Amino acid sequence: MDVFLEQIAVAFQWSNLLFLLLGTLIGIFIGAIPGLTVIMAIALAVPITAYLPLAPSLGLLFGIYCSGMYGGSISAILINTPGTPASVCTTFDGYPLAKQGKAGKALKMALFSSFIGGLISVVLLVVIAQYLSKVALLFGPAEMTALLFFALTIIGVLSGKNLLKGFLAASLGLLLSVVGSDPTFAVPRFTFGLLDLDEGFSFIPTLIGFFAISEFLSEAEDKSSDIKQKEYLDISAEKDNSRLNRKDITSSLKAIFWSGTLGSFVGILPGIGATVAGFLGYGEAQRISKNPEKFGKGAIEGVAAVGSATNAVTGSALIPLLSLNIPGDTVTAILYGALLMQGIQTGPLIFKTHIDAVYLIYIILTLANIFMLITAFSLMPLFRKIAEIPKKVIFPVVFIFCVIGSYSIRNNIFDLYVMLGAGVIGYILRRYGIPLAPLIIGYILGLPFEASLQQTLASSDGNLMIFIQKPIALRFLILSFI
Amino acid sequence: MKNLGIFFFIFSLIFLFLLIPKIGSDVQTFKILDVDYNTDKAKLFPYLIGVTILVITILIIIQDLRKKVKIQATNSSAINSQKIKDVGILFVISLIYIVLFEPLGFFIMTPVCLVIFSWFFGLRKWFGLVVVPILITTFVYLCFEILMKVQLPKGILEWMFF
Repeated sequence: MDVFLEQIAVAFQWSNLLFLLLGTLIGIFIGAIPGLTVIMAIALAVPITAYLPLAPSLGLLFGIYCSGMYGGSISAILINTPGTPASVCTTFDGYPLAKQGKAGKALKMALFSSFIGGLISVVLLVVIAQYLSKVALLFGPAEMTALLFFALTIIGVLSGKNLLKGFLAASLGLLLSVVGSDPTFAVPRFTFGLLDLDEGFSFIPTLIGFFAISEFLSEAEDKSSDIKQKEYLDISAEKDNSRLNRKDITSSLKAIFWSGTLGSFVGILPGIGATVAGFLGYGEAQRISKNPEKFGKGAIEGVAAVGSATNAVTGSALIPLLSLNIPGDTVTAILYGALLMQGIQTGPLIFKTHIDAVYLIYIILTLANIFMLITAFSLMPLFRKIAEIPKKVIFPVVFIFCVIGSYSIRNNIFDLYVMLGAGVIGYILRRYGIPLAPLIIGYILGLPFEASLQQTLASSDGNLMIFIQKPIALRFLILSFI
Repeated sequence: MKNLGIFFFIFSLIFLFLLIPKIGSDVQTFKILDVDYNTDKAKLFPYLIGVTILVITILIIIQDLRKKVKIQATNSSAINSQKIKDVGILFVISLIYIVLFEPLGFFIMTPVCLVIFSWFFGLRKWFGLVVVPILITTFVYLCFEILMKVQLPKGILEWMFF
């Protein structure tokens, strides 16, 4: 207990709080700009932490991590472009709400739910971390395959009326994922001799292309429609539409807690990450909602579910890292490196050798969520300024940020062609009414799905009965068909 | 939708019978610890996807035939030639920006491109056409190059930075 109190005192030192605030501001800013990812920001911040003690380092990194997750929903709501991959689902209802003049309401709900999701995650990390990590340890390739199959079936929920279009889009996403070396034997596939394609399409440029560039090209069709935009901006100026009332909160509480819990669990499983958590949280919120038909048209519950699910990953992703030395996602892999630079080796022994660092992580992660809530709420009037910028000014600027964001991932001009190509394909698919979200789900899940499937088949000598014999896998499969 | 169904039907056939069989054809040696591996396993997942797309497109075509939907794409009828032309112009400007991004450099291409895009979208105010491009270029430079240490291409202005 003394150690815990000591670490609280350390965390509350002015210099440490200042770095936490700095991280929070960077996180919101980075998250809000399409193409700039939390991963990139944290990766760039890690070298800085080499010159700092543990507490300010954690403040900077967790500040970026937590607020970056929320920051992604800002541009998703205001300009229909997810700032981070995890906030893709926020566009489904956030942007329609903004169009209805309820951008403020959507932003506040995203913030509130992100805060709650983050706290749920911290509670899980502190209280039942070890228990949940034991459950996740039971997941072999068969269970993972079944889980990913379950995630893919969520497409049916997401694609709305026409399942075939949704499944076609998801299949096209899976198709994109097979470009590059295969996950088991590294055999190059569909690279056409291009070295740049050996690792497949770079994820961020592809995502930016499908979501931002296709929107940018669509904008050319509506370039004379500024009158329409002005109308919804006028409505957004009305205070009543922006206020988050008790009814909104109570109607979304179930979605927030359920999606938050789901997101926390997803966070524990290595390799799944916040994007899948967001999709699962959204799909489940729609399933349990009393008004599922409102989803995709501006349901506040949809915004709440995604915010909660994605931020719920932040704490729980640390569970396998701290207790098993397995990073849950890319961000925690970078955090592993940052902790190592501080002389802290993660794994089961950390609870004995560096219990002070573990407590500091708990405390600073909680503070990061509180800072996110206060800072983002204070800065919200500035977010809304973005919506007031005319489209003819904002879209050229968005394009530049997309290009720079895509380029900065690998400093590779090829990624810009991938981005533009994805944009054109995305634009054509939009014209034919093919939803882009299932395509992205398929694209994200393709590689882990194939790897798990190959591992499962290898371990069972090609016998598919393994999915029936494993109870957890069977449960996921049954859940998929329900 | 029917056009799209037929397009992806043909695409899936090409994918299944022309593209997938070529996987691993250029892999010369594939032997690990005296065990020979073939590249067939790398074809399994693409085959599954190809067959899935084939089945879906057949279902889409059947669905369209049952509904007796006229051969026209959803929403596509609404696109007139002017709109297609506008999208084409925007695509060409974007492509030119990307092609010249490295040779001419970020500092020349970005403000020029911002002015062209803004003009294209109908902006005619001097503030938006002059000040905003300069501000955005400076802001991006400070954020990425200075703060985040991302090396932006300097192009023909490379000499100014040494």
